[in-house]
Amino acid sequence: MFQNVNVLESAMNVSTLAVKVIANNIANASTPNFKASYVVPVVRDNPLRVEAKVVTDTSSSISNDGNNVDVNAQMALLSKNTIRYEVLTQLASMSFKRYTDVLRGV
Amino acid sequence: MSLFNAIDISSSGMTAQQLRVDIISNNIANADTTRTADGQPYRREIPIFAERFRETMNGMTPAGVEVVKVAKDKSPFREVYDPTNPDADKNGYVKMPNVNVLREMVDLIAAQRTYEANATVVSNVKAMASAAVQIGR
Repeated sequence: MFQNVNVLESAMNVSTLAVKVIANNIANASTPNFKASYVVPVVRDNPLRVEAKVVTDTSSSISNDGNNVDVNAQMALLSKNTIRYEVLTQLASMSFKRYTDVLRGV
Repeated sequence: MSLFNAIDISSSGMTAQQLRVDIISNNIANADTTRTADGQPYRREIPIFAERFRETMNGMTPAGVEVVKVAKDKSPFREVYDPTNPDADKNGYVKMPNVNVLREMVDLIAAQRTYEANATVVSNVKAMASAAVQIGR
C-alpha cells in the first residue's frame, strides 16, 4: 500500500548517508593523506528502492599532503543533497495527504 | 537518529579547526619569544589531524576528525644579528623562533574557512531534520 512512500524513504536514507559522507569529507579537509568518499545511488527492483554504496576516490590528489577533498565541490554536493532531501520530504507529505484525503472521503 | 551523526562529524571538524586556531594564535603570540622553559627559543607547534572512526554493527564507520598530537616544528631557528639583545651569542647572533607569521596568517584563513564549511554542514543538516519533522503535516 505504501510503495511510493517506501521508495521515498529509501531515497531519503541515501540522502542521509550522503550528508554523513560529505560531513566527514569536510571535517577531514585538512587531514593529510585523507581521500574523499562519495555516495553512488543504485536503483533496485522487487521492491523498487534506492540503495547506496560508498566509494573512495583514491586516484586524484589536489594538494601536496595527499588530501583530495575539494571543499567547494563538497559544498555544492551538500546544497544539492539538502534540496533533494527537502523535495523528498515534500513528496512524502503529498503521498500521505492522498491517503488522508481518501480516508476522509474528499 | 542517523542525521545527528552528521552533526557530530561536523562538530568534530569544528573542534579540530578551533584547536588549530588556538595553536596558530599561540605561534603568532610567541613569534619573538627567545626564552622558554627549556632555555631554547619558542618552537612552532603544528596540530596533527587524523580521521576518526567509530565502531558500529557494520564495522568501523567514519566519525569525523581528531587532533592526535600537537607536534613541534623541527626546522632550524632564525638567526638575527642583534648584539644588544641579552640573549645574543658571542658573535652577536640571537636565535629567534622558527615561526613565519605570514605562513601562520595563511593557515589561519584556511582554518577559518574550513570551520565555516563545517558550520554550513550543521545548518544544512538542521534544515533536513526540520523538513523530515514536517512530513505529514
